[in-house]
Amino acid sequence: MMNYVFAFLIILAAAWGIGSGHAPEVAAAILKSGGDTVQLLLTVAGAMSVWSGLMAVAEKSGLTQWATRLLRPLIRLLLPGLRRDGEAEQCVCMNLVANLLGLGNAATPLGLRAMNAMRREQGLNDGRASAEMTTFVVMNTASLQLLPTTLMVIRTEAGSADPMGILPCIWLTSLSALTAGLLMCLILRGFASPKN
Amino acid sequence: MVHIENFGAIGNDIIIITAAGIVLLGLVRKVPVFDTFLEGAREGLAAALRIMPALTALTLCIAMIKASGALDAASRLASPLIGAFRIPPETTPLMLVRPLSGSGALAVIRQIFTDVGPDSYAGQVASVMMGSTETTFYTVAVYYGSVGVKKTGYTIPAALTADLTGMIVAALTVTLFLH
Repeated sequence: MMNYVFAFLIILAAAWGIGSGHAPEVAAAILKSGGDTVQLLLTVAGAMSVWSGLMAVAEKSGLTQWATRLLRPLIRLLLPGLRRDGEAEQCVCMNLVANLLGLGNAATPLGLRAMNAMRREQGLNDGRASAEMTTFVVMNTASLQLLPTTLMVIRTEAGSADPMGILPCIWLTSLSALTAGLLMCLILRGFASPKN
Repeated sequence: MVHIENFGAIGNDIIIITAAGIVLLGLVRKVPVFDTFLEGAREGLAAALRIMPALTALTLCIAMIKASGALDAASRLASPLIGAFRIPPETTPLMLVRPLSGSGALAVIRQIFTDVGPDSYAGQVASVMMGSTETTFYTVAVYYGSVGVKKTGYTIPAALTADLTGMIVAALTVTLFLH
């Protein structure tokens, strides 16, 4: 799927850029994007390193086990295939907590560790996504946040009289989006494997 | 409704308390906090390097699409369709950019706030869209890229269903609760 998305975007941009007379800008974008990625990676890598360090401490002090116990019923429901108290389950939990608190930079490294742990636990090496991986990725694309910190900051900067007034709308909307995504997972899983 | 003068301050407090709280708890539980932090940090750095190729691919696509002007054309094309769901037309570019690029979406929403204000109907709907959806393609590319999964199955259709639902419900909740 990503193959098609990638090819579609590149070819569309090339054709449109040349057709609409934006060829110089598109060419510049190709030449510049590699450098931009390195810049972005430096920022992301630094933040990920800091949060991974803190999370390692949290893990050894038993904080993550405590959070896992709190969220376990939800995780069992959404990702029934994970091993009880395994590394995957704990990382999924901490990723959820970080997402809820609006700490995106902490959520990503934990999410990646969760993916890695799931791959090992389920013994997958054929480049296929398991049902649990898919559900977990969809959960992360639906962004369940109690406190969207960045958004609140830009709303305040833009002079909003009530930057937090939209929070209930955000909670309800992300919950609806997540539900729709998970339902779609269930439906499409049914289509993908009629024998199971 | 809660009015808070400087919300940025609360975000800051959460970050500071999280960081200091973790270290303090570690100390109380007799964890070698410095050595453990180093181990974790090393792992985080390795994870960041693993996502680099996916990041390169995605940055390339997005930079090209933005430069080609195709996004603006798609926004114009989609506007009448979007009106049917009572979604304000000003939010069209945000809906198109949001699944692709987080920093792109930030730039778009800043522009919307400058144009119509953060407390207008369109400004509020844009905020709800921004807060309740994620950069879908980035997440899919990075998460699967890090474990070498190439066959993503039905992930993207399901994730885009979530995004689309979020966009429509955003307009709905703002209309119901705030107007």
